[in-house]
This record gives sequence, structure tokens and C-alpha cells, in this order.
Amino acid sequence: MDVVDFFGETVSRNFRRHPRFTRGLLRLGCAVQQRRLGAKRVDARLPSQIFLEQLSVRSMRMALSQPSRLALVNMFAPAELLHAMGLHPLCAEGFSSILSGGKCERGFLDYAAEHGVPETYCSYHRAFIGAVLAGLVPKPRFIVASSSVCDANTNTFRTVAAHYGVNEFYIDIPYEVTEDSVCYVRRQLEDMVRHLEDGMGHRMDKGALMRAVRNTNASVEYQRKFIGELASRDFTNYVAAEMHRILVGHNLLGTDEARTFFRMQYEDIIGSSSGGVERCVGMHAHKRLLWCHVLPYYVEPLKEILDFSDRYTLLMSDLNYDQQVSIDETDILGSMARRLVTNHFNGSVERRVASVTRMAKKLRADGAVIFCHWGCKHSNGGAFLLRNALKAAEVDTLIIDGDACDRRGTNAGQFATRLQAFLEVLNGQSA
Amino acid sequence: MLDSKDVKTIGYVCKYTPIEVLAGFGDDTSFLLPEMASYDYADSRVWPSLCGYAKSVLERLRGAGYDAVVFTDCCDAMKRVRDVLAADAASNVPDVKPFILGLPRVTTDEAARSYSRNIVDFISGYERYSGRVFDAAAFLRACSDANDDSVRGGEGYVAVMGARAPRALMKSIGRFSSLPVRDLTCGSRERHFTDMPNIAGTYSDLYELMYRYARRLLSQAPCMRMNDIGARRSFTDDTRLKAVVYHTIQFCDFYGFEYAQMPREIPVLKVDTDFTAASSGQLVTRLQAFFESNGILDSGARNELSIRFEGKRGDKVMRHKYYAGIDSGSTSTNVVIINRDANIVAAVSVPSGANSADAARAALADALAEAGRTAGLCMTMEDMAAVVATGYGRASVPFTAENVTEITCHARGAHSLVPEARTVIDIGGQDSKVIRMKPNGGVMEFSMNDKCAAGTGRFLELMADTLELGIDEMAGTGLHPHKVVGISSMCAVFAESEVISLIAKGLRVEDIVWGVDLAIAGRVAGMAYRLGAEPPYIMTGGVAQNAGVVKALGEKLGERGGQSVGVIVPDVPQLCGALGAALIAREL
Repeated sequence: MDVVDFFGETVSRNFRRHPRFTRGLLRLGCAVQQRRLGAKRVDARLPSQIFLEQLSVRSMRMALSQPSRLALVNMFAPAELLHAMGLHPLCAEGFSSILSGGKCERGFLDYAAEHGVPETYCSYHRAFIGAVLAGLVPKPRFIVASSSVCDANTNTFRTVAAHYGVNEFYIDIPYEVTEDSVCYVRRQLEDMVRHLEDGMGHRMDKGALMRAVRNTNASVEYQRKFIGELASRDFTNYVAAEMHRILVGHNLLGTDEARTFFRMQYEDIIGSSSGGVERCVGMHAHKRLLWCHVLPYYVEPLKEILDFSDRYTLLMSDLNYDQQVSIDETDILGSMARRLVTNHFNGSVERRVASVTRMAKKLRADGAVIFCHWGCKHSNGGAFLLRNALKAAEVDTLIIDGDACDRRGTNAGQFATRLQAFLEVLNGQSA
Repeated sequence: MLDSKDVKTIGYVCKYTPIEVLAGFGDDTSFLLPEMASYDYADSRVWPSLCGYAKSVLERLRGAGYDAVVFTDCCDAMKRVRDVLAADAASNVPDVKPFILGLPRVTTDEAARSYSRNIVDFISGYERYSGRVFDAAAFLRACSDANDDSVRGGEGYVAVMGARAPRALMKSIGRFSSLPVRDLTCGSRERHFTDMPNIAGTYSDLYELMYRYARRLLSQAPCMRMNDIGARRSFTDDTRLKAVVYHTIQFCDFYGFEYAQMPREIPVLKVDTDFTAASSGQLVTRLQAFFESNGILDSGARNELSIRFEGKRGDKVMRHKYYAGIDSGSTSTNVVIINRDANIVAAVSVPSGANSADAARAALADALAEAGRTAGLCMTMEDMAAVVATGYGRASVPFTAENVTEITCHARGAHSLVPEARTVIDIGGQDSKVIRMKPNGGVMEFSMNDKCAAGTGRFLELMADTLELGIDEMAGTGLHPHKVVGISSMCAVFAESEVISLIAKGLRVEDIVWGVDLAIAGRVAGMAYRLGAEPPYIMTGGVAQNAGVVKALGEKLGERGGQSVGVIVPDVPQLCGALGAALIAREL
């Protein structure tokens, strides 16, 4: 039995009767993983990618270790405001990914189902609710969630807030992408600042907020430059890295560490960091794949095909292409409101379709994979429209379903057959 | 006044839709509640895991009958349906104009202002679409007409809560309930516009008018997509509420959360549909059992469902001193005959085959012969004081005094066999049930799975076929596993391919069988947890003869307490329903 199997089994066996012990075990698991990544080059990861994984597990460990600074959030909760107050955001989807990475998500999914959470509900949210109800997640100081981008936020955080008896701060993001909507959200963010200040008993440090804003702006700028380079280069990537980037690009945005990551990532692609050179200088030797939505990082055939591949470049998930909005230092809350309203996942699917199509062109994608994650009506409902648009833009597209969190939800054999067949088509067409 | 041929028919899907505004254009509105036979078109346009209602709407709007449809962004599924229609409309297929309004999820003053701006924008868009001008007076008349201030429910009523319910389901509930039925689903059309401005003629300030209107719309009892749902407590706090039928739609997740929190003191029946006509029809058993067990079954429905035995109930002669119960199941038809002292004198089981009535006749004939041998008599139907049928095919059995659901019968039978039992777990060929019992054997609550093969005897049969084992052989094979092999797929179809891959990996058959036993037990134990089931547990139905599943069920039910719990299996678990039916016949 490998160490992760052992970890998963120990957590699954103990969480119902010993939640605090299990919480400690989870923290320990994060610490061990963080040290393991720092101790040596474990594989072909680039320096930025090692830093990325360390950052991701560290943020989980910090959040679990300091309940007095813990804020339970969704992916789109305005991170800079939380960091400026010295809070550690723990994102529902990110936390469930950690559980899944530790092979212990199944117990929490079942636990949630036993408490009435529908089995057709998003498995990230289901596992998170299970972990909260089982006592794995300590009582937080704050709960902050936005209505966007999916329905699950409303039910999940309402359930979690009722469980803890903590008032939820809810940000209602309008469907319409208009100036009125931006103003409406801006006023809510003003209320959010007051809510955080009241809860912490002190005012928000303007210097800390400005630092967070500048970190974000620097991160956005590095990301833009990275994407510019990615358009003309192959890049060493792996499936799990895309998932870690979602966390850093959303909930850790505004931190010094996120800024460092985006800088390192840019340095890696231009080859100015050690180790980055030989792996990043190729010019279109690879088939280039765009990914839409989350990635089932645990599916072995997917990893075998895409991780550190010398044939394919996994370009980017559209979940990592949505936060490229700089913040105006003279209207911080207005800019953050605009970022929420104009996110390409908000509103009609035409907006996401247009954005992903532009992304495919910019990154010179040869093909795209649309992953239909079990329970995600928001994304799956538009899958055919997205595929049609990409095909019209001459990007071959595969729709494939499964579950990126619940290991029971993806049949590796069937997944491999479909993906390999798609890649065979892709290679045949360009030969 | 518009010429009738100019009046447009506009569909809508959300109770927050500003339909009175459409009356301000003189157009008709209709809440979309289509029950489609198939989703051929919808499945070609959206991924299948969207809810059945969303797919029904898409399927329905492809046909003629609607000029336009007005959506709100009420849920992710409906947003995507609108997106598909918008894409289709761009290529003029189908010819239905889709509108959408952003609907706030909070009810603050700011939110009402935001929604009123969206409504005003909608009015402008609709003026361009229809070529007509908005008539504020007609709008206000519609608001006034929409007020529904009648006292609903009177002394007592049954509420339908949860997600919008198909018409066929509402009709069935109305038929079975002896009390008035109130629609409190998200598709409720109860409206209250009590303080709208009372003016005639054109209203000068459209924004102000729509602000007031938006406030009224947002002040409705919130549906579950709204963030603050505190006001929904008024539904269950109403002392006139006697029972709730709670409707959920597969792949619509909002209402499962509220159902889990429903107060225990109110009788609640959860029904899950996929919004097809067939799914509503399949619920008859559960509805009948629910109304029956709560003493609110309409007498007309009872008579309609009962097919009388020869004479009439109570038309007993001295010779009639035996009682028969027939459990007409999907796999087997079982008959139990008892005497006046409730002692079993005959018990037989025959395969159901294709015709429930024929199987019932054959089983009863066998049972009469066996009872005759036991009593030393030549026994005929004349000796039966009453016959009660239960089970899936109960309505097709032609010679019964009454038909009663298998829920009630299994509880009654189980109680007579093991009086201290508090929970019946019945795993049959096509469905599984968990029934919480009162100390007297009455039904307190129940849960039933009949939609999916996982958690049923069918699942075991599929796995046995895959492993090339006989079903009896499989029963003992997993009892002594060398290690735990997880069967991770929740779907029987996927589980089959998973088992094949485990065989290919060279795993031991006994370990795989134990994995299968745990999978089915986990599914049923989950249902028991959700119901708040309590020990002692009694297991009935054919699968109770499978020692591996019984052992696995004990482990799964005991997981919360940290140790396996005992599951009592009576000598004749598959006859429990028929025994319960015979006991009920004895009380007629």
C-alpha cells in the first residue's frame, strides 16, 4: 500500500468518530507534502510548478491551523479584501481537491449523502459539506460566497453557515453584464468590507489592501506575458498543475506568494530560470490542447498522456483564463466588482463561448477538451454550444464526462479510449 | 383591445417572472409544465445530466404553440436552456423568441431596484419585439386580478412542496388526498399584489411603478435559489398543514437540502421524478401508501383501487375462516394463508412471469392445496374470508377484497414476526425500501428506491452473471473475503464493467463478491441513515436470503456506531409482504 492509500484509508476510517484527530492528520499530510516537494526535484516539474504545489498545500494547512483567521469561501470571493484583513480563505472546491488528492473524498461524499445532500450535486461541494458536517473543518471566523458562477454556492454556504451558526456574507452577482450591475456589486463589496471590519474588530489597513491590489496587478501582468509567450512556445505542463493554478489564481490572488508564482511561471517559460530552458524552448513541436473546466487529475491514462508530455502541450484550462482584470487603485472595489460581473462564466454562455474561442485562437490550440464534471449544470449545459463554436473555429473538440473530485465517477478505461481516439484524430488531421 | 389573432402566447418557467407586464401588452401567459415522452431533441442540444424539467421545456418549445418564452436566470439549467434557444433562434429553429431577465438572489431594496431596471429593459425589448406599446392600466388590472386572497386549505390541507410538480402528479395527489391540496412548489402561481398603486390610465413614472412591482415579486415566499429562505418556515409552521408531498426533480439539487431539514412531526412523502409522464405514473404506490398510513386516503380513491372479492367486504359466512395475502412482485408472486388465530397454514412462491393475474391464480391454487394438506381438508376459495393483494402487480389481481401497498404490508408482516423490530429493510428484485415502524407495526416513515438498479436484487443478478456465478452460489461466496475490494461505481452498468476489470486484474472472486455486497449494502444503508432509521433492523424480501448482503448491511448500518449491528432475518423473508397482506385481510 502506498503512503497516499494509507493516508486515505486512515482518514476514512477515523473521521466519523475522531474528527479532530483527522483534521490534525490532514494538516500533517499537507505539511509532509509541502516538505517533500521542497526537499528534492521529484520529477520533471518546473521551479514555478514546485512552488505552485507547495503554495497550494501550505494555504490549506494555514487555513486549517488558524480558525480565528479562517474564512470559508467559494472560488470567486474577492480574495484581496480577505488577505488585507489577514484572513486565510479556504475554498470549498480547493479543499475537496485536497481530500480527493489524499484519496479520502469518498467517505465525505457518502457522509453528505447520508445527510440528504443529493447525489447529483457537484461532488466538490458535496465532499466539502460532508467534511464540514463531520467536523473536519474548524468553525470559521467568516463565510463569504458569491452567487456566481454556479448554483451550488447558494445551497452549500447556506448549509455550512447554518451548521456553524456563522452569518454568511453573500454577494449577489447579476446576470446582466452592465454598468448598473457593476455598481450593484460595488455597493455589496462596501458592505463586505464593513462586515469584515465588524467581525475582526478593527478597520481594514489601507496599506495592506494596496499591497494586495499591487500584488494582483503584478500577477495579472505576469500572467498576460506568460500567455503571450505560451502562444508561441510549447510548455511543460501536467494535469494537477492546472488545478493548483485555479486556487492560486483566485483565492490566493493578492498575496506575495501568488505574485511570486506568476513571476516564476513567466521566467520558466522564457527560460530564464534554472531548469526551465531545455523544456520550454520548443516551438510548436507539440499538439496543443486547450482544456475547458476542471481536470480529473487522478485518472491515470490522462496523466500518462499529458503529464510532462513530449508530444502534447496542455495549454491551459479556461478556469485559469478568467481573472485577467487589473485593479484600478483609485476605484478598488469598483474594479473588483467589474471583475466579478465580467467574468466569462457569468451571464449567458455566449460570453464563455466567445472568450474560449478567442483563447483558442490566441494560444493556437490544435484541439480542445470540454470536461463535463458530474453535477455541474452550469458548465455541462453549454457543452454542445461551446463545442460547436470551437469546431467552427477549426479547433477539434472532444466532450468527455466524468468526475474531477469523486474517483468513483470516472471510468479510467473508457476515459482513455475516448481521449486516445480523439488524439489519434487530431494527429491524423495534422499529419 | 387586440384582435385575438394578434394575441401572443408566452411561456414562462419561474414564479418571479413579471407576467403582469405581458398582460400589459395584451398577451397570454402560460406556466410551462410539459411532460414529454422522450428527450430526443433535448439530448441532442444539452448534456443529458440537466434536469428533466429543463429538457422537457426544450423539447416542448421545439413544437408549435408558443411565440416567445420569458426566462429568469432562476437556475443554471434554465440559463442553459435559454442559451440553446437563443442559438437556435439565431438560425430560426425553432421560431420561439427567448427573453431572459436577471433575477436577484436577495430581496434588499437595492435588489428590487436592480430587478425593476431589468423589467423596464424587458418592456423596451418586448415593445420592439411585438411592435406594441406597454399599457400600464392593463398591467395594473392584471396585478389586481392576480391577487389570490382566498383562505387556502380551510381546516386542514396537504401541501405539495419542493420543485414544480408535473400535472399528472398533482392530479394523482388530488385524487388520493381526502384533504384540499395546496401547491407550494417553486411553480406555485399564488400571487399577492396588495399595495400596488390604485390608479387608472397610464402611469407616468415607469421606473417607480416597476420598483413597486419588483418589490412585490421579490416578497413572495422564496424559492430555494434565493439566498434567504427563512420565510419558507411559514409553510411548515402553519398548524393547518397536515401532510406534505415533497417533490424533487432528478438533477435539480436545490430541494434535496430543504427536504433533509423538514420537521419530523409533519408526515412527509418524498417523491422524485424526471418530469416524464411515465415517472408520475410510477408513483401511485407510494402516494397510496402515504395517504393510507396517515389516514387521509380519499374514500373514493380507495374504492376505485379496490377490486372486490366475489361478495363484499364483511359478507362473511361461517365457512370462511381463512385469510389469504398475495404479494404480486416483479420477480415472484407469494401467497400466505393464515387461520383466524393468525397462524400460517400455507406459504408458497411462484415466478411472476409476464402476467400478474395468472401468477396470482396459480400461486393461490398452490397455497390452497398446501393449506388443505395442512388442515386435512379440501380447501377452496370458499374457505377464504378475505383476500388482500399487495406488491407491484396488486391492482391486477382480480379476486381481492382490498389492495394495500407493500409498504404497509411489509411493516405489518415484519411486526408479527419480530415485534421489537423498528426498521424494515426490504430489498426486492426491482426496488428497495426502508420502513420505520411504530411500536404497533404501523408505518412511521419510509423511503423507496425504484429508479435505479443499484441497491436492488437486479444489481446482484447482474453481478452474478458477470462473475458467472449462480445467484445462490453468490450468496455465500463473499462471506470470507481476504481483503476489501471497493466497487466504486454507483451505477449498476458501470459497476459491471468495473467488476470485469477486477476479474481481469486477477482478484479473487470472493473478494469481488464481498465488494459487491458492500456496494449494495452501502446504498441501502445510506437510505436508512437519511430516514433516521433505528435498530432493531429486520430484513425482508428475497435478497435477505443472501447471507453476504445481510452481513455487509450489518457492517454498513453500524459504521456510525463503530461496530457492526445485527440484522434480523426471519425464516421466510420473501413472504413477509404476503403475510402482512393476510393479516390485514384478517382485520377486514
